[in-house]
Amino acid sequence: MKTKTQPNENKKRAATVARLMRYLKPHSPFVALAFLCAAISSAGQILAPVIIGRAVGCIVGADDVDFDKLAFYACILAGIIGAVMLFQWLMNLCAQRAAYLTVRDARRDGFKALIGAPLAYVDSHAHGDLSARLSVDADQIADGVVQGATQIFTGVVTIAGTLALMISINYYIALAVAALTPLSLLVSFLVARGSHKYFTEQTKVRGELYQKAEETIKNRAIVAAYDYADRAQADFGATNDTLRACGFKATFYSSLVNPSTRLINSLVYAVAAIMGALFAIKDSGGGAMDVGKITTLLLFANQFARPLNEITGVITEFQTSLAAAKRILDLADVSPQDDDGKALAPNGEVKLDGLCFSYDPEKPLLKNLNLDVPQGTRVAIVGRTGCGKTTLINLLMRFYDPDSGALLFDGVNSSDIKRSSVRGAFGMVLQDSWIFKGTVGENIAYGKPDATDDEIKAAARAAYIDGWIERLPDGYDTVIDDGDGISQGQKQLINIARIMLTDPPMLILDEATSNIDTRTEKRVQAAFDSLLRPTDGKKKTGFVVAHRLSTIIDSDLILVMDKGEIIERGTHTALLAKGGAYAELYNAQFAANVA
Amino acid sequence: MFRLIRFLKGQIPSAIAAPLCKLIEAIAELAVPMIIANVIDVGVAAGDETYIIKYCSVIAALAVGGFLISATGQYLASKVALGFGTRLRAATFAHITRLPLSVTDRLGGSSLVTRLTGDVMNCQNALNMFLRLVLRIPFVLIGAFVMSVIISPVLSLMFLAMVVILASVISCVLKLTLPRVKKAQKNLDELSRLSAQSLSGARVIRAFSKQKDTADEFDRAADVTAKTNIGAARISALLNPLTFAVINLAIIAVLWFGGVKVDGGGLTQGKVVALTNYLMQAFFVIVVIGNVFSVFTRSSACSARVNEVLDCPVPPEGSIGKAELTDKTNDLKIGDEVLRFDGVSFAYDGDYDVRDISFTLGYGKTLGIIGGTGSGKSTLVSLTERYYDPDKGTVYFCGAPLSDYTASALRGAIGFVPQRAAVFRGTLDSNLRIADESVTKEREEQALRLAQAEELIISVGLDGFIAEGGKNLSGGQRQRVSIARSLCRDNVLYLFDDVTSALDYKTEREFISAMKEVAGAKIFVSQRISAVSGCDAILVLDGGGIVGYGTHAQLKKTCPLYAEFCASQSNA
Repeated sequence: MKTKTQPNENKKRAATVARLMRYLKPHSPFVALAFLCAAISSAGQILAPVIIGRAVGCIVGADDVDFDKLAFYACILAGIIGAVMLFQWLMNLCAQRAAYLTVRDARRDGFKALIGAPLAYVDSHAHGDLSARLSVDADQIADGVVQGATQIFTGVVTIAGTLALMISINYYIALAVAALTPLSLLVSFLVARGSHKYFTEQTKVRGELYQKAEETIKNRAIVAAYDYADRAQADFGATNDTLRACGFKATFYSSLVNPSTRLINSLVYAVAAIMGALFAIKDSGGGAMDVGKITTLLLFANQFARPLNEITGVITEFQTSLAAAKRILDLADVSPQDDDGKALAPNGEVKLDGLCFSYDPEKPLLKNLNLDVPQGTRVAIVGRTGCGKTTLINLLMRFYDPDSGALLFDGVNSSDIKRSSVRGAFGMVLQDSWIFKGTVGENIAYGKPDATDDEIKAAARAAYIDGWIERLPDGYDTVIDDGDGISQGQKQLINIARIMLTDPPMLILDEATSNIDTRTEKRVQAAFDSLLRPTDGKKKTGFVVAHRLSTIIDSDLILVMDKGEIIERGTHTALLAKGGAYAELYNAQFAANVA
Repeated sequence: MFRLIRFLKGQIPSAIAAPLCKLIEAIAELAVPMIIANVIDVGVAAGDETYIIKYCSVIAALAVGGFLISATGQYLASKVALGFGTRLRAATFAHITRLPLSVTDRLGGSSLVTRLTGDVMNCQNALNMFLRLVLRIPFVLIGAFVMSVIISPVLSLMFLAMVVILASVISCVLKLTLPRVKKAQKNLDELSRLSAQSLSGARVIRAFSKQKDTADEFDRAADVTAKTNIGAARISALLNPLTFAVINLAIIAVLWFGGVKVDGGGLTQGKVVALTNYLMQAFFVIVVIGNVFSVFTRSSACSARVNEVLDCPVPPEGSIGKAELTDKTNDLKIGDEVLRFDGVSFAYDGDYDVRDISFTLGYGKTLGIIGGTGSGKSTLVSLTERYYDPDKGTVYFCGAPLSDYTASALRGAIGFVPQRAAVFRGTLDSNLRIADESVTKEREEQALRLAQAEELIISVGLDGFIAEGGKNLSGGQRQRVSIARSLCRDNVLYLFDDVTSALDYKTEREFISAMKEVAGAKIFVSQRISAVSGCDAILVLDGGGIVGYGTHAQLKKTCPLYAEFCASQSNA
């Protein structure tokens, strides 16, 4: 099975590299410059040992030191140092610049795709995972690109240059070193392969352990209430011990890479020393040897091994960053939801014609819905949890598209109207209200950024949140966040104020007042009423989903949904008289309240 | 950081042996340049072939020996570090589960998770690195220095100067980079925040067609992040070139002054070569310091955060255990006092969140608690479960103050269902079993039926999989699983904190009437009149104080707030 997946994986990896290259392309001048600087600085680093060796050759013994030549070599060495410094620095700058700009572009594309993606994508993926791709994963690309561009390239240049120079000194020794050193590559490859499965296991067990930790801590009240701490500890302890076992193996085996490559290198070093010394006394071909040359050769033998060792380290990093790159590039691949069609502004007449929809083809949700809603109708949708109320709202807003049948606005099939036009015609308040980091004023003016201060204040007043806002430290300029500090009810009221400000032709209220205490709710309901049925203008179409039936009694049309079907429709009095599902629901509430 | 040493218990010998192995390996490594010097000065100079082969074989033997010793060191270090991490993690987890909620709430759930997972892991890695890499550094540095002193005391000064300059260069670069790296980290947090916000607001953003504005905002943030990173790189990119320069300048100095000494007969050629080799060894070691430095600054912050948790004291337990309490509750009769609040006031911090609360609840009776958001309902629940202790007054359970009981005895007699349904990853059965490890299948099914969750027996099944946080259940189903759990054992008191909020009215009503079959005292906390109206007594809370107490009929007449609740929730 392994042999089967291998080429496939390589292919995928190659595809990721190719796509990454496309992101790198706009910054190719920096990449090219980085390579050039890397070549120059590696050349300098290779030359340094040669010069050091020559300098050592000038120091033979007492009264036998050539100071003129020594000074000459010292100056050359100083020059090389300067050049290496400069170009190494430039190389780093260029590589990092290219890397971070690439990351920025990948992030932008990823986010753009995410914000343009169909809601089905957003709803079906864990949000934490998606945002991790844009933040942490993206940064890993930078590490990979920098390492790839600098380390691997410099490594190759160094190996080639060192080998060439070693050959020029003594080709027997050069060949011996070149033949033996790759052994360290082999060793580290074997170790890496051996420890891979322990790493995979470690990652898996760690994930399990963290899940347990999070669950126990999050539910700490229940853990305490049901005396579950000891059992949770035993459970956690067992996984913790498993982690210890596989973590130990992963840590130990991978920590063998360094000593084993050093072992190989030291052995190569010993071989080079023997050969160098023997050639020096015998002078038996392969290139004349002296002590200076031995010094150079030994320095080279060390230098030759280093990039090889580093490359093995870099390759793992490179793989991690490729995996990360794939995750963010996959994001950029999500095809955006279209916004084609006519830029019509729906007026308020809505028709459902044999509408069917399901999230999962195996479980049909909305089944053949037919409905006529004349302009200005106030429609209430009631029914038990999971009956399809919220799904219908998703279709009205064109967050999702019907599987079959049609949704018509003013007689035009919704799929012929731009999504943004449909959405622009609705004012929507949901049970899960949303606040972004910004001032209260900005949050209210979200749908109408050019609103005046007076308009914003009027909207806040209409949503009965003005009192609370004025008590905030900076009033309307107080910065708020989706985190703690603001209650769900206040968030919901801010969302309502947003709608009050935009005054759209249609309204969708999906449990819009569920988090507000009943006294304020009563007043907000009145505000919605005057929004839907203004005394000085046209009535608006409204879709209201509510638990509390008392809030929807005076709707023009009440739909009772059950298992994706409209099982009853009519006005409150008509439905009550009918004595069906609605009457039962209503009486349950009524009885409870008056009992 | 050093306070965590106690978690090394039982591993001290290994913890000492691991760096010792590294020391021996370092000595073996340090011997190599000296041997090479001898090979050059004696072997090559005299043309002695056997001498050369003999000494070079010693180098090879040292390499093999060094490897074996080093592998042993790695083995011991991994063992010690993993043992330490496992022990620390288990201890921290156990401590967290023992801490009172007043402490864990203050520290914050997500912060506790990070401390237990990421922070402990960082400490473990830092220890591993410390044993493997860091302890070796002073050995190599001192060893190399000693060797250079043996070779030439004067030239060893050069060595010393190089180490000092290199160390200061590295610390300067790090010092300049660190704040920029921190800034980059902050930018990264901002990017996470923006994407998380845009995901949670996916519907609203689309409803207002604000996709482009949102993308522009993210673009700007991504650009700032890139610029910060590039700025940080500008300085950190100096690290390698500067260290390269310092080491090579030191080599030039050694060559020149070494040349002078050799010329005067005070030194040999081979020794000059050995000196440059020692410089190189010291150089590599110092570079390691630069690499591990950031790991240690981070782990010291991490260990401080872990210590903060471990330092929180666990409050003493009361003396009344489970058996004694059962004796007390075995022959409770209808109306016998189960719970009594006596002048209880409590503040999370600052102003009182509930003040001067007094009421009594008898066995077999039901109490409704109603009030708006922030009226103190959930605080009363927390005080009953003794998650918090009152600042004034006393809460009595079956005649004794709560603090007289052991936590497991007290909480074992109360069936608590919190506002936010708590569902664990596992099966339906494992979720219910939390209440009582020995619960029977029949009892579980009975509990599900009482909680109006009979459908789950068929749709999920007792052995059916429940995802993390109950993600494969609806909000109402989660809530009912949570309720069913409390019904899987016999409790003296049931505490339902707004548990019907995710249920529709019909189901709520059926649940409340089903609860009549269950023995024990019951408290229903809610914002809804419908959930409390049938109770024997109702407590109306406003701003932390009691503003009404009585039956539904009484309160409708006597308590204006209650009447207002009724009016806003009925079909006037």
